[in-house]
Amino acid sequence: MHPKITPCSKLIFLGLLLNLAIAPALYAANNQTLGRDTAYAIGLLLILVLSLAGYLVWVIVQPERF
Amino acid sequence: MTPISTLRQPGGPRQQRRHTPKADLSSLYQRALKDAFGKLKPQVMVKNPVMFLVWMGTLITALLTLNPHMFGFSETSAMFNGWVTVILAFTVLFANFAEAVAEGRGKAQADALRSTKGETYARRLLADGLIEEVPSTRLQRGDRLRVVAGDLIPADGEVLEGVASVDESAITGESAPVLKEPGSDVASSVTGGTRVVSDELLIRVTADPGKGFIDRMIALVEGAERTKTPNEIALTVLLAVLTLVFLLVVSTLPPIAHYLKNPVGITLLIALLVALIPTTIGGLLSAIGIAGMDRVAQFNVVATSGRAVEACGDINTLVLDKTGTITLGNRLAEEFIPVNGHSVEEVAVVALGASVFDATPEGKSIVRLAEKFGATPAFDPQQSEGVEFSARTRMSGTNLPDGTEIRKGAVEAIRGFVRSRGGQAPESLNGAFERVSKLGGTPLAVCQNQEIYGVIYLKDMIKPGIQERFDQLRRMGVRTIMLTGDNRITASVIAREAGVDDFIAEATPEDKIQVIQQEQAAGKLVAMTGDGTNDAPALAQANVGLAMNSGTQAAKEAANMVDLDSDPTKLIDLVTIGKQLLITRGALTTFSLANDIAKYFAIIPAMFAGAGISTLNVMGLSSPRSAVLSALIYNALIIPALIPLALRGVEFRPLSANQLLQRNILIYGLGGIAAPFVAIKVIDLGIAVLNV
Repeated sequence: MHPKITPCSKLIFLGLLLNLAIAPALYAANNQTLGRDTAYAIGLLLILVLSLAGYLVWVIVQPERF
Repeated sequence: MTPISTLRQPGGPRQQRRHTPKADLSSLYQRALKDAFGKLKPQVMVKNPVMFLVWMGTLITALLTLNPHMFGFSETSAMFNGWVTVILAFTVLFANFAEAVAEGRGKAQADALRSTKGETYARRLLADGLIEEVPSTRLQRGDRLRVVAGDLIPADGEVLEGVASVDESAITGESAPVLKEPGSDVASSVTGGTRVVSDELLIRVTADPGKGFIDRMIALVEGAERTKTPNEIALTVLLAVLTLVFLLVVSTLPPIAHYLKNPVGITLLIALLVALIPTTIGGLLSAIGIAGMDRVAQFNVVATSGRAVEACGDINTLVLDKTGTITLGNRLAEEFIPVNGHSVEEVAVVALGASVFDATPEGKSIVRLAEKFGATPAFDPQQSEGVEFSARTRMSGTNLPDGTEIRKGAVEAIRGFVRSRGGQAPESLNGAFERVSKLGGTPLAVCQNQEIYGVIYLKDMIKPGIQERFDQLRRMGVRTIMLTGDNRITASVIAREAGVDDFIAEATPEDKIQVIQQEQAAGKLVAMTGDGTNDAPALAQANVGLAMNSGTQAAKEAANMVDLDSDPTKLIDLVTIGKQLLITRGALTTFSLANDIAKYFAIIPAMFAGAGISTLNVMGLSSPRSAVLSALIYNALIIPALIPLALRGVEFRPLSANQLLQRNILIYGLGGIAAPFVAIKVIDLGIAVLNV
């Protein structure tokens, strides 16, 4: 039996994958003022903020679904 | 005269009358508390954009409580982050609790209704005439059933045979049994879940299993079929736009803060975001809508959707039947006015002859008045044939075995009838007609074959307090149109006495739909009531159609609301409830947005304390941390504080849209600016004293 993959877990996985690109770039751009863990945390926070902005745009476009 | 105090709030004595299976509200708050936690699931939270953002903020501050330096720089301690997390979590829980309380009332009512339904067995009639017992859940539309005294009617249906008393208290709250019989517009439909008290009926099922009246009622009060109303959708978009704007503003602050050499931590940014987004209305929006539906249900009216309730608040024109709505339903015969040289006694005999088959209250009152004059029927009713009243012929009467035709009806209709039989209407008929009409009564001419004998004066009684109701509606900008089958003079007298804005005399069922279409073409929203099958097209055409529960199945299906008490005057109350719902939503939105000013003045100086903007600390808050906590605590506490107002609705006043706007801006706009300044200062003092 295959475990059920929820849309939520899929999104989290995609976010983590995306962060693999964002966090190293952030780490490299910060001239060692940020630790590696902090860069990953900020990368995730950025993705979360962008996701929330996308979600709010979706609410504005299709309000009857909310 | 109805006192004004009972008119302001919809209801009066009727408000205390709920469905007989009374909802158990004792465990309402316990259940709501449990549901508030259950609603924290992401798939539920995502339905409320504003509170979803607060919930996300709570999760981030919770992580910052465990590791304050997770995102690098942090000017706040783990303890402070912990306090912020707790306050934000309570903000979300309070909003969920408000919604759960509103839903809980409906659920309790649905449970009470479900308990009356239960599993029943039905005696289904087979094609060969045999009867089989089947569970009610297996019944299909078109099945024929026999129900006897003591039986619970298993499904909605139409009476085919028999006359029986039915106890409908399970749905109407009215304990007096109702007579059900076939062929009558108002008494031939039965509702599943009601009980036969005496005799027996043969009924044809008109609803499929699970689609009956009680099933629909349960689904509605429970909110299972609740869809967002246009007003709610518009407000959701506004809240989402504001939230998005504030999210973008707050997320772009760190570079500016960095430039000002006053870096800001994530906890303070989340605090600012939560304080700025409209959490108060975001948390209470669905509760206001659910409570509006609940108020309608408590008023013994079942609405098919929240859209219908909301539409009531936007109504511009009310189309009202005269009889039963503006005047008391039963017109009574007051006087016989002879014409053409006949005596009163002769008129009484002919009027009695025309009314022996008339079972309406009017017909019975004519018989009683005729009997006072000693009249007795000069024929054998068993051998005679009754002629029923119809909206087209506008007369009724009796055909005797010897070919004699006795008729009573609208003066014009009788004049035409007499002319068609070769007779002539006497001159004195006009005088009698005008005399009755000018008194606001209904003149009915009586004739036998081609000879008119006189006029019956049917007295109309205008309902007490109705004029004040129409005055209120006029002040709210709602136009009232009275429809009546009466002649123009009578209609104008009643219209003037009742205070309606317009009237249509000698109206036919087609006039109803025509007047609705005319008003709608002029951009108006129209509401009307009806109970007969011929009202169904007009009920469907109107923006708000209120059908009487005593009416036909066709009328009930065409309408978007059904009044269980069958009281057409309730349409006026429904307009009040609809307006109250819209006003409440508007008032709390104004209040929520106005709150931002004080929260801004609390958090921004605290956030940029290092940038030398302490002059913005107009409230003189003791410390930056205390300022942030005070603003967030106020933000959380205002939600439960406003739950009673959201559920009860803002007090309704019959004012025009402009007056209401001015009043709301004054109370909820200015109040929304001033209240948080005071409250945040008080909370700040409390925090300083407790030294948290």
